[in-house]
Amino acid sequence: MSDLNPALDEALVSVQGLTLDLGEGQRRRTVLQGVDLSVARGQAFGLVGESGSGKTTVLRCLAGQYRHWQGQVHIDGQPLGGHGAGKRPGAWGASPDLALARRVQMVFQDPYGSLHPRHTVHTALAEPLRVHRLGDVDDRIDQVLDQVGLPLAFRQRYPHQLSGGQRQRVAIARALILQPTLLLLDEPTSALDVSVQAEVLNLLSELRRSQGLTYLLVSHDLGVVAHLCERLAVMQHGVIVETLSTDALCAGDARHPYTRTLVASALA
Amino acid sequence: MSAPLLQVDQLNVAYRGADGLVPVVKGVSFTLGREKLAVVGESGSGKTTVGRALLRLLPHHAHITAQSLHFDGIDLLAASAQQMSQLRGRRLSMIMQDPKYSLNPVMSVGAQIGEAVQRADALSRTACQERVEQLLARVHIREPQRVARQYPHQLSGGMGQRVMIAMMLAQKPRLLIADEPTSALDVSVRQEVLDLLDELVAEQDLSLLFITHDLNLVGHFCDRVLVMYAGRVVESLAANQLQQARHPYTQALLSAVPSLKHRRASLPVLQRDPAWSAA
Repeated sequence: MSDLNPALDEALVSVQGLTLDLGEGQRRRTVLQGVDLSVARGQAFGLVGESGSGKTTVLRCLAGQYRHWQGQVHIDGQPLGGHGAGKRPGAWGASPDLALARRVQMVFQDPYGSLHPRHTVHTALAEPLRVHRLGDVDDRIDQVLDQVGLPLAFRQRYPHQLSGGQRQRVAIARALILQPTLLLLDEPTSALDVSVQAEVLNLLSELRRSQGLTYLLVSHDLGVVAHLCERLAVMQHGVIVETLSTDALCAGDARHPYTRTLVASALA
Repeated sequence: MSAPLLQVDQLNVAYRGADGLVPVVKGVSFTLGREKLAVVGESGSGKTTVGRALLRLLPHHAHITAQSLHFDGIDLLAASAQQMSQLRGRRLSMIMQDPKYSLNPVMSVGAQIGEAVQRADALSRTACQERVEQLLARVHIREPQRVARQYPHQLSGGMGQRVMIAMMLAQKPRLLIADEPTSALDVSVRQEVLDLLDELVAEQDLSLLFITHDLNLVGHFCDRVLVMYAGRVVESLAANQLQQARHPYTQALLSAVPSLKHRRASLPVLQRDPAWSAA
């Protein structure tokens, strides 16, 4: 695997000094403290850490779910509106939310919770098209079902008629249908059996190649991150403690004690 | 040689559906002595159903049959509802996957453990409180007095699981059935909970039935492994022999795990053979 160096390639995602507080008054806590990361176009970048380390929060900031962060975030060279958003008109056009959603889509951990139980696969996949006023609904759905390896007849199924792996394929299809450049993957396989996890991981690497996607993957599983990503950052208590290439990680070149602990438990 | 603590012979579980009986566990047999036995399989393989059948905790439409289902000399299939509730929690305990859903959200941790303590012996309030704190300390909770006053939502996942274990220890169980006790936990916390279980098994003369989907974990943690597929045990082997597993299903599960040691461009995908689910 080649180690793409973001300094040489064009960075699709660049995050500098990302800081976020949550809560009010006495319960106010800093959950992200000056996170810096950079993901090259076409790269898969992993964020590893325990629950509460802030890795999912980074994704939520990039997805526009949190707005009150401070720092600088650029996606595809354009600044993302954080603290004081709206003061920079024009960065993402007239409707920044829609424009951002076209380029950045997220896949969530739990395929049981992230699909509406009373919406068919067709309804779930047609919704983003409707929101973005895109036509050719049927063609686009056929195409995306094919991409994620689901039979076209699955269109009329409800989530409870699908296995966990099939549901996660639907969730990936829903993210892909807008043809984004960046996929934010939040523990996309941790709710799945290892055999199904292998299928979904293979699908994700195949899609990245064929669609030229860039991934930012959050996982607590070092094996999954090492399999899918070329570079990774290790987070602890809202801070990135180490950023390194997967090759370096596997060669045992991790320096930070926490990274070493993670490697040791992954190799155990 | 004395009889094993648990003897399961030809256990079948089926659910009554609209089209007759749907079998979910088919002819599972094993014995369990003083050891750590793992039952491993994918979701839907029937591993949890086996654990629940032992406690007779299955819904009413479940149909359980077996040639023999004996725990410590007691026939679990013939036992009355009253006998079963005497067994459950006292001599046969179970801890579940997610402490968030297994603990009562509107009761303090101390009060919940206290219930289990009072069930074992009637103690005065102060004696009960002391016992609760001892138990919390036993599961390596640092400030037992403070934690006893807390509510489940104030605990982390690892602490919640320790509280469940403390509750189990309030009685003196012989057999602990642990159903995915660590899969809701972070990697670093997971090891601590496993170490704790290990310690208790060694100290308290406890046998452990460990139900999990994580083959790699049981290789280090358990003594013996049963691999289940589609309601059957397809392979039974010593945990340290796991890498030499013969059954193609076990081999496929082992190789499907992405590993830091052997990196591959794509992961081998399980090709299910209909023969595996045949007798």
